[in-house]
Amino acid sequence: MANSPYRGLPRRAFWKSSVSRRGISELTDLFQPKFEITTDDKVATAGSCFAQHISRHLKLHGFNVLDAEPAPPGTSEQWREEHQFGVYSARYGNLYFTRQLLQLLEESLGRREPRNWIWQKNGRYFDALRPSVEPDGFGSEEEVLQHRRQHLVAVAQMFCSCDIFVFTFGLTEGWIDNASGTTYPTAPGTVCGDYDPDAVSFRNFSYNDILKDFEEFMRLLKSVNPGVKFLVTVSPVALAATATEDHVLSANTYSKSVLRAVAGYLAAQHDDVAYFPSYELITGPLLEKLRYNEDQRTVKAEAVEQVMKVFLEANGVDVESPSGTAAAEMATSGPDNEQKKREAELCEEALLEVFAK
Amino acid sequence: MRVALIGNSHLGRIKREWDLWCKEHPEVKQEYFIHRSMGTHPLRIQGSGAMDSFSDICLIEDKVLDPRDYDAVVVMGMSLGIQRVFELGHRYRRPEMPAQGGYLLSGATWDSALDDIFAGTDAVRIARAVKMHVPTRRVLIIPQAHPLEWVNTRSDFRLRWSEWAHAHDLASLYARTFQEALMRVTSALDVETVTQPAETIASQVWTKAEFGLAQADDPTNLYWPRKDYFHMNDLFARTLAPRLHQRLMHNNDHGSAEGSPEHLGTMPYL
Repeated sequence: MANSPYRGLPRRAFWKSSVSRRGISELTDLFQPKFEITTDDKVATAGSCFAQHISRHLKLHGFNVLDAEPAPPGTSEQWREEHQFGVYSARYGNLYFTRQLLQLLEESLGRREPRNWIWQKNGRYFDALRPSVEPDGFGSEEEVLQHRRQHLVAVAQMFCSCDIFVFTFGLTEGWIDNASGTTYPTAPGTVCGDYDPDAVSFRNFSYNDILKDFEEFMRLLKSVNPGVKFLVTVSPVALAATATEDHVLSANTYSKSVLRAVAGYLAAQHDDVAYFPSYELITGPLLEKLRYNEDQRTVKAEAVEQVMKVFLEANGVDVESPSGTAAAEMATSGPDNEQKKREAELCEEALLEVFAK
Repeated sequence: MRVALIGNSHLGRIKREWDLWCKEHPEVKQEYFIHRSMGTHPLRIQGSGAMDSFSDICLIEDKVLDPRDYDAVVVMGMSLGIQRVFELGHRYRRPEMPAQGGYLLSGATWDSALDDIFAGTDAVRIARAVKMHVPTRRVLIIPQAHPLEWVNTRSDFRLRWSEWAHAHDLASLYARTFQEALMRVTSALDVETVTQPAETIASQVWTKAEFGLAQADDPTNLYWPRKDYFHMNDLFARTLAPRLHQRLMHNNDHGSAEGSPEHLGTMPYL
């Protein structure tokens, strides 16, 4: 047989022997962590909707997920999620694109001041950089300012103290204030505010934009927290809507492709960046009909569990052990299976559906 | 009239006095379901549907509460009381509270948090279950009595929520938000409330010292005689009993003076 560079490669390099006719539980060598995450590590989570699942499952299995803005004791899990307590490591809501993340870090370290970020709706005032955190808004601009100041203190503490920063890339499409460059998680008019095309512009961030933003984020975070490591993922949750002229299916593929490429490049170039392949686990053929809910956009709870099992087992967690299953049962018990209902992501982006003709 | 009384130590403390009082009023037959920390039998409620079992509410006796056997079900204490407002206000502030007072929430979110905390109390869980089994059964909630007034002068407690509220003149705000949240949660369930007798209340949100089980100046410095700021004594029981009796014997149409929204703000404590 002729010599070939493929000769002698492990089974994982070949589709037929490692993917075809296999279940997700057989992919034991898909994710090989670059660095160990232990329950002693302080983990901070942020990103797009799918990051909520990662955060929740890490907590359920005893990982030390930071909670810089804890909820009032005695409130229910549902209330906490509705008010964005404990969804991520602080109440910043969904950080759909990387410019938001960079902007948040810069702001929390006092190196950037966003502009035009207090929006109104029905006489109430909202923090446009996280509009769903206080669903009914505040009574005055001053209250919003105070609320954001206390948030930034908590966020700075979180950034400076975390050992592992988990970020899920969600979207490439974002909205920017023309005068200041301030980025918003949602277009004005979606949750609050009103769209003025002269004031706010659409931006479909490119591969270079996103890579540059994330590497700048890494550089800045390491300047205040030199030991931090990064775990990046790409959200398999599809775009609810696109502001490009493309069909949303094409726009989604473009967006996810760019994000996946950036995540792969970051992991390949940096020893302290690991990539967890939740995106391909969900969107690939392995889970078949298990993958998406009826909307063919959001991910089924069962699929999330399968994906997180891969992650947890790679990090030494025996999810089949009595303690592991107990945690999972805690999350899924009850006649109405509340946990599965909550697996539906808290996602402002989904509000865009109301604008469909 | 047959009445089921469900509660924890706050009911247990005044049971003896109520038994004596009820002997003088034979028209009321009461039966107790008292949660005890050493209880081994979960509270079970059986009505028209499948049985509800509360594994965290334990009785000494093995018995089932069937609301159809009673004319009314009274739930006392069970973690529902103004202390939940003190605790929330100590760490989370509304915009009108002092700026140094913890994490700022919007007024709507603060109220919503309080509603959610109340909805999760054992008292409301039980009331909800009774109503689910027998929607027409009268359910009356007696919130836990306000903390004793001397607690706001003490800094030796782990949580200084009372001292904080007193120092920052938050009594009116706490009283109002407590009444409003109680109204929202109970009216949603079609449940009545029997609020604390006015003559027992000091400065809107505390209970006068003479109604307390413990004495603030007890020389022993042990917990129960000196630091128990939330259990009431026989005098309190004797003051509350006729109020409850009056409410029970009143053919309530669920629109009582205590329960109607127009009385919020000016609502007298019965």
